[in-house]
Amino acid sequence: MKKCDKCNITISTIHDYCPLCHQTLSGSVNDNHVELYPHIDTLQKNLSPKAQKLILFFSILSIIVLSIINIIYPGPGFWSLIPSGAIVYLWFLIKFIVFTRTSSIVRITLTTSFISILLFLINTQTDPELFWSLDYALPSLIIANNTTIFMILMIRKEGFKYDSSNLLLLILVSSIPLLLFYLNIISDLKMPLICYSHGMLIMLYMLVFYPNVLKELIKRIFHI
Amino acid sequence: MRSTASKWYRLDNAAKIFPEVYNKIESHTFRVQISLKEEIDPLILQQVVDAVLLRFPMFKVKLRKGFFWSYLEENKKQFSIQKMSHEVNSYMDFKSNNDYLLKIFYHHTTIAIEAFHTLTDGTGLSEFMKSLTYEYLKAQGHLVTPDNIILTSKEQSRNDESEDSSKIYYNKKNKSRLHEHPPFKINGTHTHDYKINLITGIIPTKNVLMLAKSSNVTLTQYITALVMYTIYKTKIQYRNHTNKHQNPIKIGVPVNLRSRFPSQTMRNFVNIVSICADTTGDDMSLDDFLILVKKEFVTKTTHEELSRIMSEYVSYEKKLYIRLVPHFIKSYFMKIGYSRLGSSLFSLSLSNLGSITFPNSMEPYINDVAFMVGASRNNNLNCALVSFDNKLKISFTSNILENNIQREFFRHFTALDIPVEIESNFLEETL
Repeated sequence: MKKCDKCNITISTIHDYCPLCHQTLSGSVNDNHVELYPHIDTLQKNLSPKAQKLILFFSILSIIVLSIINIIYPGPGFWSLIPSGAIVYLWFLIKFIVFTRTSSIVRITLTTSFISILLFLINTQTDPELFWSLDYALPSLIIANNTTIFMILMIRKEGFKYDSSNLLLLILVSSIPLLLFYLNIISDLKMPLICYSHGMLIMLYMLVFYPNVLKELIKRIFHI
Repeated sequence: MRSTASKWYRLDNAAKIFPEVYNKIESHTFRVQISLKEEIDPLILQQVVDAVLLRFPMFKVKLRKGFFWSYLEENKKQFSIQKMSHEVNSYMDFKSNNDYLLKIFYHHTTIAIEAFHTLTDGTGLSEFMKSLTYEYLKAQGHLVTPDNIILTSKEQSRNDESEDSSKIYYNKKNKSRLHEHPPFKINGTHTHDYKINLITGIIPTKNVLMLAKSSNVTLTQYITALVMYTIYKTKIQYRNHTNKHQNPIKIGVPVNLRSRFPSQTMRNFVNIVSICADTTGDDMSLDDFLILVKKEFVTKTTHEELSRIMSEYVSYEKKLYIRLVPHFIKSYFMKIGYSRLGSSLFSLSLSNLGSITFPNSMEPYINDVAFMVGASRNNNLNCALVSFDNKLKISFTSNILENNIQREFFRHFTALDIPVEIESNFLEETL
């Protein structure tokens, strides 16, 4: 046991100073002494802040360089937006999909969202007359996304019991293409209708096989 | 194929605010720590934790956001114990903790349990700690008995353990709100990333009880008065240009309502009463503070006053127009409300977990128990105490480097020839 002659306290530590007055401690501790609060560096599982800043710097630099080249060598439309969008997409992919601890369901949905935005960007720069990214790509991606998550919940033991709130949210998302159609943003009704029907089919499956889960889910999400 | 939904719990009245205001500066976590007289076996501890969590289903949960309110949902993921480090009550990243709002650490002979305040309060966590210790000692082959003090993993959890007692015992007619004046602030140089600097003093309980008895006050009142006196002595008394117009020192003391109302809930069921001392008078002594504190405790811990505080907070939640506001909007208003009615009302908070009792058969295996609360943006220094077997452990947690309040506080006892043993996480070493 060590002692601080100034504070008149005793302390069992390997450190040489008093935590109260920072004066040197007298005495010593046993050889088999174990520090109560060991100084352990916690594992850095995330991308280090330095690496993040480096990637961010090169991303911005690349976008600026691409924009300058685009201005010097103008082509059809503002073509540099496509590679710039791809860089931003890559940035989001690293930040929110690779180095994240969120569930696989959230990661899949985020990937779908990022791809949809990137495709929309490519669409506006290559073929602004025909909105294929909204007419076909967006509903297809939503169907693929919902099917994947539905399959995950089916495979997972008690998946519907624990994670179906995400699925319920995605079913709501499946009505977005239909909404865009009625807002005259999408011209073709086929794919939005298929997407919406697909969502409703999953809802029907839940209603038939998991009525209590659905009921509880609505109750807990909307409880006041 | 099971078609029943996973279990979920509404957040209790006090718990609702924490998910909205927690961040790296204000972790809103607290810790109960127990030291045994033998080395902890992590493999056995992990098995015991898995079993005990089944007994405490309200702790085996994750935080989810609903459309109107957040809620707790059964967590099926594996809970993993962790090695203890020098970091105390740090920011709890739920995702890296498999969504749990609870962390259990082990090191040498110590088991530390940290909980996010949405989950429970000090009393709830100490019950969990007692059960965990009992099951661990039993798994190690020791002949220990629960003696109706311990909730064992063989028992089934009761529904009233997860009830929101404040909603049951609040009084609709007694919900008036009193205006609180701003308190004196303890400022200083913040630690890196607002990490917690911990200084714990171990003092013989009997000696402190004797001191309190000689002053005709309770132990909590004595410690509260001493903390106030130390703040006054180190921060106010000798600053002649400001000491005549300082805001009063206000100490937030959580009062366990289980002793006032017939509740056995494991959720939050405390009221924080504001013990106030005006320091604008002439040189004040410890005796002056003891008189003030005793008077404050008497007037502010009456059944009516506690009921009023509880009802005041419940009444906000009960308003239909508040309930119908979507969560993402409500969240902003809750942040504003917290900045006005939360920790900013106190100079410091002082939590006394009281005397922890174990069955006689367990006591020979236990060395001591500690209790620590976090620090926050408004309360740079907080204090928590707990006693077990004539060891009163007073833990000061702060996110500032200055520790003159702690130093003067413990020197008060050593000056009276009362032995003080100090424990610290020596945060300076990591800066």
